[in-house]
Amino acid sequence: MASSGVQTSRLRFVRDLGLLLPAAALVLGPVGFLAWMGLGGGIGDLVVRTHDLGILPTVGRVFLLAAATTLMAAIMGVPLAWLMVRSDLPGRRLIRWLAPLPLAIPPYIGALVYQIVCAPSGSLNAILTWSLDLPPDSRIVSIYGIPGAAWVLSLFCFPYIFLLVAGALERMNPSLEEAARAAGMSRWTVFSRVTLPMLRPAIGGGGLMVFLYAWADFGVVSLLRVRTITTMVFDYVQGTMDWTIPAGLSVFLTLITTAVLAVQLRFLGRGRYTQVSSASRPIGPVPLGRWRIPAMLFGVLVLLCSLGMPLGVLAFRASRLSVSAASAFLSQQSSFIGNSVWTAASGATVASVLALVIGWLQARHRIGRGVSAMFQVGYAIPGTVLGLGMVGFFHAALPWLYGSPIVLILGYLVLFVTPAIQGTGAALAQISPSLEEAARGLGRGPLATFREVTFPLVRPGLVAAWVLVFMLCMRELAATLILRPPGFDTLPVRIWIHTMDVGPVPTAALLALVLVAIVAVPWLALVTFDRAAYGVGAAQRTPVTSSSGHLAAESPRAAADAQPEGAHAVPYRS
Amino acid sequence: MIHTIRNIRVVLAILIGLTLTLAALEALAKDLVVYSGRKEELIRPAIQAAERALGVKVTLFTAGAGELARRIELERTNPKGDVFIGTTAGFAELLRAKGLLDTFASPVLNEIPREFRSPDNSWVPITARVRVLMVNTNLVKPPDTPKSYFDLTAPRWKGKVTVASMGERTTVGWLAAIMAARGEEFAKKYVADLKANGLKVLKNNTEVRKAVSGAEYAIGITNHYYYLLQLQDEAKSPIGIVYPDQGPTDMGTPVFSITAAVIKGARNADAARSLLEFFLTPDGNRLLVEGEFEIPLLLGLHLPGAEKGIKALGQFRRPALTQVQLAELEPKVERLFGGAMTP
Repeated sequence: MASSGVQTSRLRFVRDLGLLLPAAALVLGPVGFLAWMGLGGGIGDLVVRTHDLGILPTVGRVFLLAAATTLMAAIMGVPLAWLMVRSDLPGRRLIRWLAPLPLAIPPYIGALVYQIVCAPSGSLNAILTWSLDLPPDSRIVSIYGIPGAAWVLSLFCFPYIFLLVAGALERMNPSLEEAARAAGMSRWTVFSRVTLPMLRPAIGGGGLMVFLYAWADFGVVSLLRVRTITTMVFDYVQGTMDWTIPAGLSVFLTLITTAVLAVQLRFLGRGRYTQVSSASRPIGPVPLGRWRIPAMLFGVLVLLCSLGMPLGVLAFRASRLSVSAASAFLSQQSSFIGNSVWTAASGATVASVLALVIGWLQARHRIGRGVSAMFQVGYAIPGTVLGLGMVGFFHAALPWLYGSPIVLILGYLVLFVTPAIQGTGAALAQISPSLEEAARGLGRGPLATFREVTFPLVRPGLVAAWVLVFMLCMRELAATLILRPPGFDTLPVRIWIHTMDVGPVPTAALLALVLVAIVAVPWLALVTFDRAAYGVGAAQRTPVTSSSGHLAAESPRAAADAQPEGAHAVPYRS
Repeated sequence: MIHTIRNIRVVLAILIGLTLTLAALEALAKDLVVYSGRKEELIRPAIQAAERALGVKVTLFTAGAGELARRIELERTNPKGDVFIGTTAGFAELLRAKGLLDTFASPVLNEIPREFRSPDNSWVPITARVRVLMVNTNLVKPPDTPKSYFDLTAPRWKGKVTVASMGERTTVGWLAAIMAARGEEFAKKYVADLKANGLKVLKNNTEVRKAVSGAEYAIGITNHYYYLLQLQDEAKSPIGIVYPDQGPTDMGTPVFSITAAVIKGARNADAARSLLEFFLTPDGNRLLVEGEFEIPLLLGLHLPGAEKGIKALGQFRRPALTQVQLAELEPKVERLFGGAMTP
C-alpha cells in the first residue's frame, strides 16, 4: 500500500514536471531570449538608444486607444445585449445570430475596409465632396489616428462584451428587478441601480478582453497610422538587423502588459459579490414603446458598420475580378489556404486537449494552476513580440524544430491555450469529483471513467473551445508574420503582403472573404446548433470567448468572476 | 480490447500525419529558397522565368530586408535560405562584413559601372532605382515645385511632405547620401528641421505614393518606380516626378542598386548561382527591370517609363558615392535617425 503511494506520487511528479517544464520553456524561453538580446548592452545603452522614440508618450497613446476602444465596445455591446434579451425589439432572434459574427472578421481586415471607405482619399470623402459641392480634395473624414483606430477595433471586438452580457442577462434572477419596480423605481433607475451593478462582472470580463486586444494590437494600428510599441518593434524588425531596440521594447511591452493584466484582474476580482443564482425564470419582455424605432436604428447601425458594410465592400472589391481570374487566383493560393487550415486545426486540437488536461488538473491539483498561470503570461505577450522571441529561442534551443510549421503551431499554443482552458476548465470545474468517484466505485478504471463520464460532460465545452481557438489561429497575423518558415505563408500573411505591396487590391479582398468564410462557418454552426446538439447544459459550459488575433488575456479569476453570469459566450438559448 | 484498437488507430493517425509533414518539409528543402525584400507580385515574372529556364522550383520568402538579414544571421550555422535579394547594398554589406555571403563573379558584371559593384564580389547589383520627389500636381503648381530636398524645410511645405519609415531601407540610404555629401551635423539639422516642419513618416513607400496621389500630402520623398506604379494603377493620377538637386553645384540625387547574393553555406548553392547568372542574362534582367520598373544597369536594355519622364543613368546628376560608401553610413543613419524615422 505504502509503496504504491510512493509510486503514485513519483508518477505524479513526473507528470507535473512533464507539463510544467514545456509550458515554462515555451513561454519564458522567448521572453528570456529577448531580455538577453535587449539588455546585452546594458540597460543604459537601451535607454539612450530608445530616447528619440518617445516611448512614454507612446505608452500613454496606446493606453488611451485601448480605453477608448473598450468604452466604445461597451456602448455597442451592453445595450445590444439588453435589447436582445430583455426588450420586445423586433428581430431579436436575428441579433442573437448576427451580433457574434463580427468576431469572424479579423480587425485588420476591418481596418482595410474602413481605409477604403473613410481614408482622406476614400469613397466617403468623394461622396461628401460631390454631394455638398465642396472644392475637390476637401477631406472631411479621416479614419487615421486614435479615434478611427478605436472605432474600428471596437466594431470588431464588441461581441466579447455582447456575448458575456447577454449570457449574464439570461441567467440573471429577475426577482430583484421586479422587486425594485414594485418599490416604485423607474425603469431607468432599475437598470442603472439594479441591473447594471449585477452586470458588472460580465462587462468587466468582456471589457478586459477588448482592452487587452486593443492594447497589443498590431494590424489595425499599423494600417490606421497609430504609432504604438508593436508598430515600432515591427518597423525595427523589418528595417534593421538590430536586436537591442526591438528586443528591449518587446520586453518592456510584455512587462507593462503583464502589469496591466494583474492590476485589472485585481480590480475585477472585487466584483465577485454579484454572483447570482442561476435558477432564473423567464420574465416578459420590457416594452420599448416610443424607444422602439431608435433602438432598432441602433441595432441596425451597429450590425451594418461591423458586418454588412465590411462584407459588402470586400465583396464589391472582389467582384472586379472575373470568375475565371478569381478561380485561377484561388487555386494558385490554395496551398496557403491549406497551410492556414491545417495549422489552425492542429493548434486548436492540441490547445483543446492540453486545456482539458490542464483544466482537469487545475480543479484538483496546484500544478494545474501553475501551468495555467504560465499560459496566461503567454496570452499576455503581444504576437509581434512572441514571434520575434520564438524565432530566436527556437533557433538557439530547438534547432531541429526551427524552420518547420510546428513552430507556428507552438506559437498558437502559447497565445491561445488560455482561451481553451477557459472553456474546458469551466466545464470541468462543474463536474463533481463524486461523479468520477462513483464511476471508479462501480469498477471503471481511470481511463474508462474519463471516457465514459468526464469526457461526455466536457465535450460541449471542448467543441466550443476548439472552434474558438481555430478562429483565433486562423486570424493570427502578428506572430505568424515573423514565425512563418520560408514557403509556408498563411492566409493572413498573404493578405498582409498583398496589401502592403500594392494596397487593398481585389485579390486581397477575395482572400479576406475566403478567410472570413472559413472562420465564420464553424462559428455560425456553433452559435446555431450547439444548444440543440448538446442539450440545455451546454450554455453553462462553453467558454468565455477570449480575445483574438495576437493577444488578449484573461485569468481563471476573471473567468470565475464572469462564469456564473456570463460564461456562456458562444451559444445561447434559441 | 475495442478501446485498445481505437487507441492504436489514433497513434497510427498521428504517426502518418507526422511522416507526411516531415516528407513535405524534406521536399521543401530541395527548393531554391529566395529571401526577397522585393515586392512579390513584381518580381514574380522574373522568378517564374528562372524556374522554367533552370528547371528548379523556387520558394519565395518575402519580408522586410532587415528581417531577412536578421534571419540569415540567426541561421548562420544551418542556413535555410539560398539567395538574398535586398533593396539597397546596406544589408548585403552588413552580411558580407559578418562573413555570411558567398562570393559570386561573372564577366557580365564588367558592363556595370564600378560604383555599383561589390569590391570583392560578395553580392551583385541587379537593377537600380533613383530617389525622387513625387508631387501632387493639383496641390503643387509648376512655379512652386521644389527643386531640392533642402527646399522641403521651408514654411511653405509645412505639414505637406511625407516619407516612408526606415523600415524601407531606401529611406536610410537617402539620408546616408545627404550625410556623405554634407556631413553629419548638417544631416542632423536637416532631419530635425524636416520633423519640425511636420514631415509625416508613413509605414512604407506604397503608402507614400497613395497619400500623394490621393492629395493627403503634396510631396512624397520616394523612389522613382512608385511614380510608374501609380500611373499603372491609375493612368490619370495627378502626379509629377522631380529629380531634385540637379544644379551644377548641387549634390544630385542618389541611386541605389538592388543587390542579390548567395548565402554562405546555402543548401542549394549551385542553383543559387544559376539564379544569379540568370538575373544577369539579358532576358532575366529585362524581366526584373520591366517587372519592377527599375533602371537597368546592364547595357542595351530598354528603360521603363522613359516616355513618362524617367531618366536613364547619366541623364541626371547623382552624388559621387559608391554603393559601398552609402552602405557604410547606413548603420550610423539608423542609429541617429531611427527614432525620427519611425512611423
